[in-house]
Amino acid sequence: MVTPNATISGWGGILVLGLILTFGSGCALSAKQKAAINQFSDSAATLGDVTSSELATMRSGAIKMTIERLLLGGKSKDPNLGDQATLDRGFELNRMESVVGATRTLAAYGKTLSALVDDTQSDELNAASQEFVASLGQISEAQKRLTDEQLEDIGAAVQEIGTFWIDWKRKRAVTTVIRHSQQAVDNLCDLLIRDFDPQKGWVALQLQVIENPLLAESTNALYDGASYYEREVALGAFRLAHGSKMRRTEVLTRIVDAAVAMKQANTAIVDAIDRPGLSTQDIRTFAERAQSLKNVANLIVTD
Amino acid sequence: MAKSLGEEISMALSNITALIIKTDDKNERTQLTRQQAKLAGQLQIFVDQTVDEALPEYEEATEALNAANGEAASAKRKLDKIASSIKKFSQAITKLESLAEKVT
Repeated sequence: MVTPNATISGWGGILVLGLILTFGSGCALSAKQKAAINQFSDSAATLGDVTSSELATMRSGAIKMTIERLLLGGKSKDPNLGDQATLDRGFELNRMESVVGATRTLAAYGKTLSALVDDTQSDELNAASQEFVASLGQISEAQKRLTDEQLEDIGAAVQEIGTFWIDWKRKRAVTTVIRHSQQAVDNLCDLLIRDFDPQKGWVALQLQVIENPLLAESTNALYDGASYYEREVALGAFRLAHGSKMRRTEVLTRIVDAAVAMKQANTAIVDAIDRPGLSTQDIRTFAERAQSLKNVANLIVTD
Repeated sequence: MAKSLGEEISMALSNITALIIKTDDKNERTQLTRQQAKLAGQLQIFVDQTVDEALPEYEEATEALNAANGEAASAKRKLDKIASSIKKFSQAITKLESLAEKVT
């Protein structure tokens, strides 16, 4: 004779086995895939955040340098350079808004992707399945037919089904998002590689436009300075120009390196989702470059 | 490979700045500083033109990435709903049971 207990555990077993076979074999992200996506998304967030913050620092540095040049040399010697009415010349808000908007969106992309991959649902599911069992236990018919152990089994099955379902949906969502955003991420990397190039990108050239005239005026002030105070003021201006030059060379180089690495990692991450065993070296390289950018940005003194 | 106009002006600007730093003669420095300002002004015009062309590209990139972010955020919300759906189901069972008790 088939008891109700046997029936339940039999059906439950078949159900769980079926789910394991259906969802367990390659329908969820593997630990290695999750780690690769996390490393990629964290690095994207770092590249986006540090670049945004460096652009803001460049803007405030540009204003300080223009003020210092005007203090030392008086009226601008060329009408195309910044003056008292256009202190932020070259780093105007509308320019910054467009570029920083893009880099912040890149950071947001990294953070959203990371949130999608992270398992924040285990505790929620556990609570939900316990609640489910408690409500099932309140039904008088169920109270008569089910033992505590059986109720617990049902709770465990609900949790497992939920976990499988979430993992399956998670993999599908992550795959879709990464595939759909591949072109957009590549395009933004190309823009960063072109415009942040420390030799010919417009960000570096813009910094040079502001830095070099300040270097000239501070040199004149230092050589012609008759007192300690005059020379001290001149050297303060040199320091500003030096900090900007550090950003122009060291930080911009690392932003470009990180963007080049991100473009390669962007291809690698799509491959890593399709083929779980694939090497994730490109993603690790991107993580190293993003970390190097962060370290250097922290090292350069901001006045 | 030929250098771009921006690179040419940039190099000239660097060279003239180096000369200003090396020159002791005040008159020479004054002349060099004026020439340097003109070069810097020309480089500013070049940068302005470059940036004007670049900004729409950043706006396009932002829009495309924002769409991806929206897709990811929506997927995350759907995942978060699974646990709450089970909870809602539990609440529905409880309500049904109390309703059944009232009817019988």
